[in-house]
Amino acid sequence: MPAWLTRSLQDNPRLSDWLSLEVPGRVMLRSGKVELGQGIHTALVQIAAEELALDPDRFDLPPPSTRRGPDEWLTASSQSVESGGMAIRVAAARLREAALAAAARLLNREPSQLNLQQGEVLLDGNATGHDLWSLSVCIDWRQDLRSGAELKQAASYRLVGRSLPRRDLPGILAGGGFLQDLTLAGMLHGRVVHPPGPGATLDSVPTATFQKRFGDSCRLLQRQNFLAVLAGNETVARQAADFLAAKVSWRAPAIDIPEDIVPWLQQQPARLQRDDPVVASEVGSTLTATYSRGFLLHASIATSCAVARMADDHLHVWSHSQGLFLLRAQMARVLALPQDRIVLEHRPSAGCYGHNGADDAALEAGMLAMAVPGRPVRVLWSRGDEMSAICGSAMAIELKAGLDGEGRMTGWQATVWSGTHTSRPGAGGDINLAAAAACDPQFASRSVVDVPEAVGAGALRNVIPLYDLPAVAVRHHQLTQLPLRTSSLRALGAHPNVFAIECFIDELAHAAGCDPLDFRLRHLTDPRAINVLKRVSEMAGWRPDAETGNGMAQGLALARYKNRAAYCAVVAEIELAETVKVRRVWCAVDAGIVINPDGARNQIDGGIVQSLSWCLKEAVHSDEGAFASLDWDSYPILHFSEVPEIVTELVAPVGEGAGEPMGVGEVSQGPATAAACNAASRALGTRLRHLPLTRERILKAL
Amino acid sequence: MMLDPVPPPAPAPEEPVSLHVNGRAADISLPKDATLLEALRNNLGLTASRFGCGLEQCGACMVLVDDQPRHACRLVAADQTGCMIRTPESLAEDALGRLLVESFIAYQAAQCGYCLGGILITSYAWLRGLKGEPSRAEIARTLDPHLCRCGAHPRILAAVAATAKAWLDRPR
Repeated sequence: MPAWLTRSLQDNPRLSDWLSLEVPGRVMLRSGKVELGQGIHTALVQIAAEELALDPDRFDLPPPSTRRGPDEWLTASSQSVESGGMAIRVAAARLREAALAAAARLLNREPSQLNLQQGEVLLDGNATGHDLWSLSVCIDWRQDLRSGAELKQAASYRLVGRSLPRRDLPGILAGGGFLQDLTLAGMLHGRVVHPPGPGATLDSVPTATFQKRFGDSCRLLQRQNFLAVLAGNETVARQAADFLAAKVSWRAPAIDIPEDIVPWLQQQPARLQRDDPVVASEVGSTLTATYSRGFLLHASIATSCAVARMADDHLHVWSHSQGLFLLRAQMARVLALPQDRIVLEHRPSAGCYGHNGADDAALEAGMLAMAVPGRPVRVLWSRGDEMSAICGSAMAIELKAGLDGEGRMTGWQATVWSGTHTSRPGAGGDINLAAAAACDPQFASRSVVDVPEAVGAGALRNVIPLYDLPAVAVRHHQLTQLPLRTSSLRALGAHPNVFAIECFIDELAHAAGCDPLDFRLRHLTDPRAINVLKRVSEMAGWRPDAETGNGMAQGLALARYKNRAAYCAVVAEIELAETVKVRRVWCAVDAGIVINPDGARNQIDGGIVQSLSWCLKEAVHSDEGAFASLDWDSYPILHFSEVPEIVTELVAPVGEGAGEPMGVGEVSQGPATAAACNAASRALGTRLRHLPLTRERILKAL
Repeated sequence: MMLDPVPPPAPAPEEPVSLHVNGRAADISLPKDATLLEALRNNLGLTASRFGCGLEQCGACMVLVDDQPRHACRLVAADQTGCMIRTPESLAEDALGRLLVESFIAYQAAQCGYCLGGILITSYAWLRGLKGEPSRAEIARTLDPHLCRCGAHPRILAAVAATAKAWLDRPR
């Protein structure tokens, strides 16, 4: 299958799925990929503008909607440029071909004599009087794109590869741009009083007291364990929800998350999901080490939000969901509405790093809107709601490897304990929307599935080392009854797996008496991996004999995201006192053809900062049987003063597949954490294997 | 599965409140204990100040109250009568504010951008009193009351540093 025939294109094969010419002088580009703060719409317009030889300012890209499509499944897994961008590239190239063919017929010329510049058809550089818009009626908009198009050669690119500024930033700086800013006439404000954890049941609701306090200015809506308020004014809705939250009592299963999470994870109910036969290393010694990461929160700066309105038998919902069509299908089941009577339209919220509360909030708003037909309802979550909704799973990873007498690895065995990395709406056939289960137990989730390995895996993402190994065996304990709801968080299992692998490689290098850089190079044959590793070591001035006195040290790490996307190598320089301070970070990435280099570096650097926050500070904790990471004091993230200087370089791609673009949104998380941990271990003289690298853990290791 | 229909809620009792926002008088009516953030966003349509936590922990709602950065999420609007309030929207109205916004665009100092309104306010208030060229660490300390989850910090620091330099070097 050719590289350009991506899933986005296969699922949406018509020219009209992607492009239309509705306003003279402008091109309407459609995408199912949503803006999450990653700048994807700027990059997608660049791709279309390149193939059409048209100024990017002349494109409109409306927010994705289920009303029209395209249906691109999810905006996730760093696939937006790889899959969605490729589809747009083919569509735009085909529109150029179709327009030139139509003009050639009208002018009695060969298409090869004509070209398209800024929408105008030129013959020998002169205007012909025909342009994209006048030719629109001659174009078959239903044509099938799966037969491909003649794509521009990379050498002639004028827009792809340039750092165009974000299209949405001026509007954001001027104060708009977010779903939370959407105000509709007559809009009511809803707040949901969420349970303290999965499986909690409402014990008592002080209906009479509530009524006495708020009267008709606020409605209380309840069904089983779903409890919400509705007011005409946001202040009243907030006060009513706070009032109720303080007074209702719940019966909730205990949540006890110990700090020493490895034995706890190993004791959780589990299903053996994968169990490869182990090939014992025949020669030399064997090393074993166990690594762990705690539960992580999305911790977006905004709280989840949705606006919905039921009118004319149609439910219209504005949501910051990553997967509008997936959500619509499950909302239809819950609300007993046909899918074609639900429209889900995207509006951005603050940064989205995976499956957060967006989908849940959308159903809540839909339910409330249906209780007051004709009136728009806005639902906004509290900070505590946002923190406690969905986590990235904790993971324990036990690694075992053999070393021969020449310092070469002879075999590798990984055992992973992890909760699921997907419980998105529809996953495993379940609805997976919290409000549905709260209203009716028949809607509760029953299955626990993970992301299939064929689409990149969840807990096993990046579990296979990038290095040349004669034998690798994987065992996967899928934890099935965790007390917290877990789902996709940026990089999924790639973060803990790369952290574990790259720290273990340092341990093996040490055991082999070898520099970590040399040890890696000795086990690599992939030229692109070697390239980024060598480049980052040059950038950082990596020296095998570097003195590690004064608590300063460098650490190194490498990964290829999902073992099939972009390559990333990181060197972190840390200063160790009672805490780990990351001073500087160097990063080299090979992402193939890069559409917008500044946007790519922004994603990579942001990934590094977020990863260092995970590495140094973050893990969910409980207190007296309850979830206790409910705000920024109890779940601190990296502050400005703790952010290192970062130098990121996009290296020229080499070798096979160099001409294909590869997503960078999740490429740096694993290597950044591993490099920082390797540096800290080097400075400390003892191995750190458990995240986060808190002051307490450092003092214990000292 | 549906919730039982309810009659739309009746309007809540409100009280008149006089505010002074971005150089203009604003006479509005609010429920008791409405926050300044709710008043700015819902009554005055000033959405650049954003709700992040309601706990004075993230800084997304930062505004100037009599030239001091304050969290609008916990200030009671009615208590701000007589104060001069400025929101990020007002930055377009003066030279330093415009310089700051231009720097954020020049450095593409954002990912999602949700935290930026508050960051602009704190940066602006600090830059106004700036005496000499600041170090990266000084700017970082100034912005420590603000959280950013996307990791745009290095760019934000660079954008504020560039504004500081341009502001100090301005023709006077």
